[in-house]
Amino acid sequence: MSTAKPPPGTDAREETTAAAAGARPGPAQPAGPGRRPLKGDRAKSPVPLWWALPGVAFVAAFIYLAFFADAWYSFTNWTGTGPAQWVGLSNFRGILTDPIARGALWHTVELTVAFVIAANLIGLGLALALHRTVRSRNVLRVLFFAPVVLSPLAVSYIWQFIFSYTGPLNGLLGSVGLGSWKRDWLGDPSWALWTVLVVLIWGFTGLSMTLYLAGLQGIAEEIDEAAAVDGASTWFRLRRLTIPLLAPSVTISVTLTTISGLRVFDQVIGLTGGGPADATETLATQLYQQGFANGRAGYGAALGVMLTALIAVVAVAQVLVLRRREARL
Amino acid sequence: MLSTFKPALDPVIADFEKAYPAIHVNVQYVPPGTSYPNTLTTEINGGNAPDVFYTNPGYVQMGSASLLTLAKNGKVADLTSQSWSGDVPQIARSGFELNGKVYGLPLGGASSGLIYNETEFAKLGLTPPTTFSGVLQLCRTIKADGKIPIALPGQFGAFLPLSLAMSSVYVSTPDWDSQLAAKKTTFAGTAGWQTAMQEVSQMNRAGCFQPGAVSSTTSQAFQLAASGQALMYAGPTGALGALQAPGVTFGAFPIAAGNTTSTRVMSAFGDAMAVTAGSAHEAAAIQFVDYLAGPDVATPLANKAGDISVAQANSAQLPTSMTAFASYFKQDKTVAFPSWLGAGQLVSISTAVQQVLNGGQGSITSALQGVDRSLQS
Repeated sequence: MSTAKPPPGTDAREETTAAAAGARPGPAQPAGPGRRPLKGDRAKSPVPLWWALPGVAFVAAFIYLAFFADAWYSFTNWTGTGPAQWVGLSNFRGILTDPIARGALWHTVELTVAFVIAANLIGLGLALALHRTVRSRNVLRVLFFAPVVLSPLAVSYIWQFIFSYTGPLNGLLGSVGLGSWKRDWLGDPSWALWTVLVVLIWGFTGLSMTLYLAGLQGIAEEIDEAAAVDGASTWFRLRRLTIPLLAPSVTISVTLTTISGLRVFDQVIGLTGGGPADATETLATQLYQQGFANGRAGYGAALGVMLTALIAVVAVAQVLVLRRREARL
Repeated sequence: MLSTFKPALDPVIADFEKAYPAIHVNVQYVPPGTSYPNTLTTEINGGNAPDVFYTNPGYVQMGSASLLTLAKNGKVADLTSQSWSGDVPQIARSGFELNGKVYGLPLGGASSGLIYNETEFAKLGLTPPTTFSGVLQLCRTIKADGKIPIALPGQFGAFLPLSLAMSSVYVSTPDWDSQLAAKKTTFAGTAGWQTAMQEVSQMNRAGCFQPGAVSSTTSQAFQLAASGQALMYAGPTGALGALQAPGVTFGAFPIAAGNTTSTRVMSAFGDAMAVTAGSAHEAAAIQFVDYLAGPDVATPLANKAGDISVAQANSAQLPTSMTAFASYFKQDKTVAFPSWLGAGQLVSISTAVQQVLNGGQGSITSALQGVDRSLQS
């Protein structure tokens, strides 16, 4: 809060951007050309650029080379062993005509949209609630953030037990007289996807909350107080002051939740394995199923390329739109 | 090696090293599921394959790491000249042979049916049924007694319709697999597969399965059977090796078709040991495989893993837990492990089971069409 409060005369919005982006709190730098290192400064830097070479080589070998190899295999019928034959766009055509792959794409989109909305709304709500007023806020912040540091796969197995027909959730419903609500949450195709969504939100909301808290701490208290003195209601201040000033946090949180939603895997594997009857298959689980379990490495690679392209297009478009909105605000 | 073999294989390796002190066996156990084929495939592709390794016979059971797929790509050694190669059961040869050459040692065989708690059955005065209507009646009786009749791992429930299909599909059409390979038939278009799925649906309606069976995992269903909450478990008889509880004896029986005469059981030699072609220690590796094939080693090893050995299958002298299958082996009422059945097909049949359990009778054709689509791809 007070650590990130900008000194008088500093643009509060710039400070918010720095805080939301994870900048180290401290006295704000004066605006102007002195804030960024110049070319001349870089040349005088005591750290030579070639020091980055091992890291660059590592990333190139294990990320980019692997990606381009995967892209090449996506045009082949490689099974995982033996020779790979060029099949052109056949794998991509197969994905677009296969009802399971199409269903997986639809589930991925459904899950992502619902996840982005819910995780951000809940994360923002928690951040607002735990920003100043609650006395035990530090403890609560830790509690809400805790799921983020746990292994999603391990946690999903625990949720699997909670949601099982004889598990604690149905037990609780029965004990409070809601026995008719009991169901096989993970075995019912109309509920299974939304059950996965609950676990996804539970696991990610803490991070979303932290991003919004960082943004809130960068907003000068005086602005809010001045608006309150002028008679602005809490809702008005939230809508017209707080949320617009949180724009950089919104950009980061929405982008991260979108990427996490599009590549959802652990929660589905741990909870339903893609079932019941393919009702929770996503692009990532199909990639795994086809590429590894079914020995269709070429087809799996094509799914990987499609998933990467989807994430890249959506994430870049989102950042561009949200950054433009930030600039307008 | 598959980690499920560890308890059975570790003592065998110790004995082998005593008998052949010049050879040291460095064994790496990998959990089942996709971890094993992924690890094996990576090692083979990286030119770092183990000298001896576990795989599944045929072309599809372990995807690209299946025995004959590897044989086709020249990755495994020809073992035809080994003394045991002639003993590979006729019914299993198509999974171990390519162009008349044997490429793997059948480690153990399993069958299909229901695993049951013999101790609880005896207490309640129950006996394994010999007709399908008897299975339904048994479910009702057990349910009325407050127990779960059958623990079904719904996320991996393929073995139930597969067991039923041994009778409903292969009695009338023994060459169904060849017809499927020639694209002359489909799952949805085969009356026998419709019957098998209808029987799953009938079992569901008779209350055979635990509540929430659709989403149940293998370990959850196992837990129900091991704890005595469920009196039967729907899975391959190989699970007998892992299903243990103090003071409880488990056995297995075939799921009967309409009557005993039309019942068939699966004879699946799904475990194979292979030797890497051109391995630096090929001679020692073959010596180890020969040791595993020995009469004093093969049967205890297979039985400890819950399987039957080649010698037991050939002589129909099955272990006590599987005596209910003996007459079928004796009278040659066995069906080979389907050649089309790989991990992907097991998943798609499991998906079909989930669809049938959720949707009832009306969903059977669409569920089987899903299996057809999976196979075509």
